[in-house]
Order: sequence, then structure tokens, then C-alpha cells
Amino acid sequence: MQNNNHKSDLNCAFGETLVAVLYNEATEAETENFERHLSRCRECSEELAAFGMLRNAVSDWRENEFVPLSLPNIVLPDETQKIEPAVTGKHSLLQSLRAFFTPANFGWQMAAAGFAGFIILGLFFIGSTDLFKPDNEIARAPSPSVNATPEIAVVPEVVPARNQPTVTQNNSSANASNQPEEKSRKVAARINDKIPKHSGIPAARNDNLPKRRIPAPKTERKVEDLSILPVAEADDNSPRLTNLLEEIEPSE
Amino acid sequence: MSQTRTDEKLVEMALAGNNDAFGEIVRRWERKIFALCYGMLGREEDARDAAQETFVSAFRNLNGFRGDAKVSSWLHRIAVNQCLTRLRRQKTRNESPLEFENEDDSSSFFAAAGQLPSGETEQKERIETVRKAVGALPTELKQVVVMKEFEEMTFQEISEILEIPLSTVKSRLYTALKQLKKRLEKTPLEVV
Repeated sequence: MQNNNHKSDLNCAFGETLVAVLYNEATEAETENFERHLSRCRECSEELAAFGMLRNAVSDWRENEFVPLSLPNIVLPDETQKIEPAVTGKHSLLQSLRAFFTPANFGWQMAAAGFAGFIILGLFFIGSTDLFKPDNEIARAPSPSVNATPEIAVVPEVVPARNQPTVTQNNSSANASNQPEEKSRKVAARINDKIPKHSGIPAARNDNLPKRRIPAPKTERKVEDLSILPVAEADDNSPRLTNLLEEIEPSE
Repeated sequence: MSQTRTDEKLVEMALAGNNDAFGEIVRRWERKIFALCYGMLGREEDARDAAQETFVSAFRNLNGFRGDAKVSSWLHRIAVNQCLTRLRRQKTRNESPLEFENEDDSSSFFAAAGQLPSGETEQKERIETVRKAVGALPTELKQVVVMKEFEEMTFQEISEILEIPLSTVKSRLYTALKQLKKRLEKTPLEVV
């Protein structure tokens, strides 16, 4: 214990009384008792005198350096000037709004702003998806109709691989009376005719289309006579090899 | 603000939203807290800063004030902690103004103090010597000396603020004075 350590420094039992007498806080009985002790104890007498000089020195320090000083100007920071009341009473609407927008309640403002942002994002999400459209909008949405004119879609021709069953379109025969379909079928047939067919690769079959004989590709190579020029080339003034030879050897 | 209100009542009022109540506490205790900081630190500017920070810290932690302790005890604890923090910083920066140089010399403090009359320079020298000697005391001893000499408190007041027995206050003060005497007996004093 620290207190016991301090007490162990006392040389005699009058240490505390000596301090009390020194600072004029001893009772009359204590003072009388200590004065009697001083007449017998030289150590306590010397100590009392030395402590008296120490007190004077410390007092000089205080009187000369501390007492002339002005009081410190205690300034409390602005954010702590307003102490939030621990017990809140009834507030008017204006007071509640003012309290809400004070910096001390900034956490609530942030929470409210975040919640509002969440709600707005949620509304955008709902508005951008068809899943949450109301029923009347679904009723007004265009539905497939039997009598409606079908849109002509360009279907790429399917060229089946060898030894594979040919893909047939049976829908055209079922709706033979349908004029737009027949028209599109004719267009597709014309496109088919224009596309050269390689031998060995069967073209897409369409039973309803008229059979057309596809000429076989000519394998024989024509030997063209370079001396015969087309008529259109008579007007061509560009230099020819034959003309140059004639100019070089006119005598021959 | 009425003087009859206790410090604890003022704290209660401050917590209830009365902004003037804490101002009253500051006015009541600023002189003593400033004196405590000055005696503990030994420098005017450091003492002003420590006193300022003491009241700001108390104001910010007003909600944490426990009713079982006295406001004066609470303020003194905060002030002493502020002073100790500053002393540690000074020690780290090797700026300790109260460093006590213990040198043997025949011309001791008490020998010079006995000579009359003492000039102004000698008086300043003595004050500087005492300041360094007080600054070199252990914190709990120094605090009692400063509260007695600078705050001019009674033993009973010191006992209540430090929440220690009255006899402990006296024994601490006696030990502090003995240590000061011992240090100053060996201190050289330049007599001009």
C-alpha cells in the first residue's frame, strides 16, 4: 500500500501532527501536545523549521508567478455547446423538425436519406420490368390473331447434310389457299433457282414447287480464239501488241 | 445562477438541457483547476491548455458522470490525467522543464535561504529551484502539495476530492515535504 509506505517515512509519531501544526489545521490539544514534544525532540524542531522555509519558498513561487496570471478563458467547442436534454418533454412540430435537422441528429438524416434512395431505386426497378405491369396493360398488349396478316420472315435455306433426311415444310400444303404464303413460297422458289446447286448435294425439297431441270455444270473448257475481238473493241484506241509489231517491222 | 446549488445539481441541470449550468461549474472551478495544472506542469501556457482541455473533456463526457462521485473529484481526476499526458509528451520530446538536477554543493538551498536580504535574481533562482524540486516529486505527492499550496485547500477538502482518508493526506504531505527538503539540501544555489 502506498499509504503505508508514506507512513514508514515518519521518524516519530508526530509527523502528521507536525504537518497539521505547520498549516495551522491542528486542534488546540494537538498543538499543545506537539509543543511539549518539540522541547524534547530536536529532529522534529529542525524539521519544522525546514518545512517552514519550504512553505515560504513555494509560497513565493505562487505569489510571484501564479497569482499575477489571469484566469484561462475556457472556451467550449461549438458542437458541444448544446447539450441534448436527457429527459425529453413534449415538442411542437416545429421543434421536432428543427431537432431533426440539427447536426447532432445527422445519423437519422443519413438513415432517412438512404431509405428514400432505396425506395426510389425499387420504384425504378418495378417500372422497368413487365412482371409488375398492371392487368389493363397486359390486356392491351398485342396478342397473336389468326386473321392477322403474318409478317414475312426471311428464313435461310436449310441445306441438309448428305444422307440426312430432307427437311420438309408441311405448313405450306395445309394452307394452300393462303395467298401471302403462296407468294412467299414462290419467292423462296425463285431464290432457290438462282442459287447454283452443287452436284451430289440435294437441294431443299419442296414438293409443291414446280420441278425444274437444273442444267449440269459444263466441265469442258472452251479454247477461246484470242484473235477474234468483240466488235466493241474496234473503237478501242489503246495500244495493241499486233499494232506495235507492225510499227516495228513495217517492211515485212 | 444561484450559489446555493451544488455542483451535482448543476450537472443534473446541464444534462437536462440548461446550457448555463455547466458554465457555472466552469466559473466555480476554473481558478482551482488552473492552479492545479500550473503547479503540476510549471508552465503557464501548458497549464492554460490543460485547464481548457479538462473542462472540454468534462463537458463532452457529462453523460458519463457518475452521481456517486463528487463533481470536484471528477474534475480533479480529469485535470491530473491531462497533466500526466502532457508530462509524458514532454518527456518523450525531452522538454521536461521541471527536471531536477541533483548535484552536491556546499551552498545549499537552505543555506542561501537563510541569508538576508535576498535580491530579485536570487529570489527567481530560489523559485526556479523549488519549481523543479516540486516537479520531480511522484504524482500523488506532488498533487497533494499543489492542492495545499496553490489551490489553498484544507486537508478535509483534499481528502474529499481525492477520496482518501484525512490521515493519508497528512502523511502524503509530510512525505512530500521530507523529499523536497532532502532534494533541496543538495541543490546548488547561485548567489549573486
